[in-house]
Amino acid sequence: MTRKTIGDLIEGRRIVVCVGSGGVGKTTTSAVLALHAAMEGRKVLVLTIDPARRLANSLGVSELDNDERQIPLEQFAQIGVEPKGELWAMMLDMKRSFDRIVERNVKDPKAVERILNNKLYSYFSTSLAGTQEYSAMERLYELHRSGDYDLIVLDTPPTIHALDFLDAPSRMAEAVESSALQWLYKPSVAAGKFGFGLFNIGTSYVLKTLSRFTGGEMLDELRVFLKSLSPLFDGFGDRARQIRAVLGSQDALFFVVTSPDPITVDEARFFQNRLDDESIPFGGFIVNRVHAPYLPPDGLDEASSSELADRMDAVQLDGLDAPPEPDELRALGQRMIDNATEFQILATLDAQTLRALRERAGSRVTIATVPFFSRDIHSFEGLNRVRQELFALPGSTPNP
Amino acid sequence: MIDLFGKRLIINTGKGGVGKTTLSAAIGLAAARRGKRVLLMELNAKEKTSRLFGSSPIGFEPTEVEDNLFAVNITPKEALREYAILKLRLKTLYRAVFENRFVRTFLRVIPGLNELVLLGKVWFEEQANDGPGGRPRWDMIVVDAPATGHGVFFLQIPAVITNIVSSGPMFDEARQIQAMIEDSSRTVLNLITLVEEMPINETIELKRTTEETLQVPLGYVIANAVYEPMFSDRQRDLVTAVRAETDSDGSHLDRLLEAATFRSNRVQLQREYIERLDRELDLPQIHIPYYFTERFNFMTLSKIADEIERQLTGRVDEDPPDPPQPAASGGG
Repeated sequence: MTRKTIGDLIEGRRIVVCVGSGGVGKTTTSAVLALHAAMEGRKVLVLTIDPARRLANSLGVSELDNDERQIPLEQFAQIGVEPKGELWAMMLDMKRSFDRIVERNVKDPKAVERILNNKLYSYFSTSLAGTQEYSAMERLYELHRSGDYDLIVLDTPPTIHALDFLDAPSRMAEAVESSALQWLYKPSVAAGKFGFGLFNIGTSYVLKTLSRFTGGEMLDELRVFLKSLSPLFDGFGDRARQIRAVLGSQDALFFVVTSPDPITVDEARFFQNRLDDESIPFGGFIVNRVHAPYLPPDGLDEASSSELADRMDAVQLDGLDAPPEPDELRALGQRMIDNATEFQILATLDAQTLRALRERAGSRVTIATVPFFSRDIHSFEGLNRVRQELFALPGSTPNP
Repeated sequence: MIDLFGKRLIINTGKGGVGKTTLSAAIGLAAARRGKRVLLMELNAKEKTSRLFGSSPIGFEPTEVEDNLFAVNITPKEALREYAILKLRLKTLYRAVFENRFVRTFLRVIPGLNELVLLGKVWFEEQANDGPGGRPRWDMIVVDAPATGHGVFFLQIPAVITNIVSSGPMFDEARQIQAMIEDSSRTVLNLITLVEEMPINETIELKRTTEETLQVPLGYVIANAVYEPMFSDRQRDLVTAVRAETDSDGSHLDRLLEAATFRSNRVQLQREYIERLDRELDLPQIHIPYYFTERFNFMTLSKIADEIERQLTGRVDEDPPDPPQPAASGGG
């Protein structure tokens, strides 16, 4: 039984993708993986979709936008480390990314303008299920192809249905290539019939039924919009297949990020299965916010509590207005035990969940854990501390 | 103060992982215990409500999970089906047209259709008047709104649609839904958050976008998992002083000091974040304590429901602005 470390796993990969449910720390984890690879000598880009300022702050850049920015070396110097490589970051602006796709693929500037000004466009580029994910994938692919980076780490958007973004390129391609849509925007197709099997209903009948439901105006708007978008659709299928091929290759690796909560872990397992089904290289689980056990497995007895008070009493305390009374220390000792006992419940639950995950995931799957810190991670130093935990580097302390 | 239990439609929103499902269920449970007939609605979710109540999986048809408390999980596909059959009045026609693979692809690109049929289902349930004696089917509907990447986007859909088209069935539907979600006499939107940096930032952002883009009446900010203080200020200072003089040797004392520091730090941080909510959001707050138990079980849910009841009735009757203070005052 050999479990590779996260460090072993990302070595030699060119694309690392963090997936997982909302609120599990994907963005921080992505930044930490990128930081580590940069420390080890690679030129790394972390691509985040998180519009919050926090990542920019903790990386020490004033803001992140749709352009790549290098993390200044002073950031590293301030925490006393020196990267052998380079760390770059950018935030994926969904709308801007889709604009780029349009601009790059539609040659006629007037046609581009017509698309960008269509009232359906802003919905399409930012809100239609799958479009955001498609933009992210296409941008990732573009950056990958440029060869500017040794490694790109992608932080994925939270999706309602796990891994929507994986299907996004092919689903987009399928949608625009399907006769259903072509019939709307290509007059030659409109003359034909739907594949309705037994019913063999004509398109005009389908159209009539749908318009009873959506209204004719909606269908007309859609027809105009799709027609203007059609130059974009031409290369869609090819690009989607290329993106998919890279993600399925040994260049790429996916980590599932989770918290130790049983329901979130269930979702994480679901992600893993989906990745396996799709033959996407799965790197392992990264479990954030794991509660540390503070007590021995059997808890502490009465004697320990007074021993605790004695030990505290023996400590020379400076800087206190009044030295502690023995009673006070005994009460504090008890309070400390009560406190640790509460957290012990969480530590026990987390350990159970992790054990179950290990059993179900199989002995060869890497499961790396990061403790729940007593403060939120919002500095470069904080990222480095998570890195020490995640990569089990010397100097890691459970809760500084 | 907003009379939460007096509303017919309670929409809970917040980012993923903050406890929306649990708190929605707890609000529903508290209302049901007051004798209201309540429907809990999860929308397009990986259904979690059944785990809270230990019931069988919840789907499109209401499941009674407790006395007076019913739950559904609505997918766009089912909502669309119900809506289309209602409109077309013919099941065979629905099957012939809507269950065709090509039409499905096509439906996927109709702007806002998925969200609209989900909201349409909420509207449909809100309007239903087949309760005893012609009363509404539900006294209260609690909606666990989908956690999308973009805040209240879901609720903006009616406006998106009325911006695209100016007539037709989708337009009419959107208008009706908008009228419902903007009606402060029956509807309220609560913002649910954990008391940590990122969720707090997003909640402040969420309130701003809500006010800028929606006329949906805002209700409470519900702060979930608030640690109760364990140590007084004096005890906290003692812990710091002792820890400074103790080796990090993994001994009992070392570990307990670490646990105490963890608690104090988190309590202190949470206090700062709650002050930020006070300062930056002009909204009443409900604080749900951190329960040191399994998250998804009925006992915890029941405690949360009691706590909501206690804090809301306290506010409605006496209007004391302060959240409940645990026994150990001050410090952390």
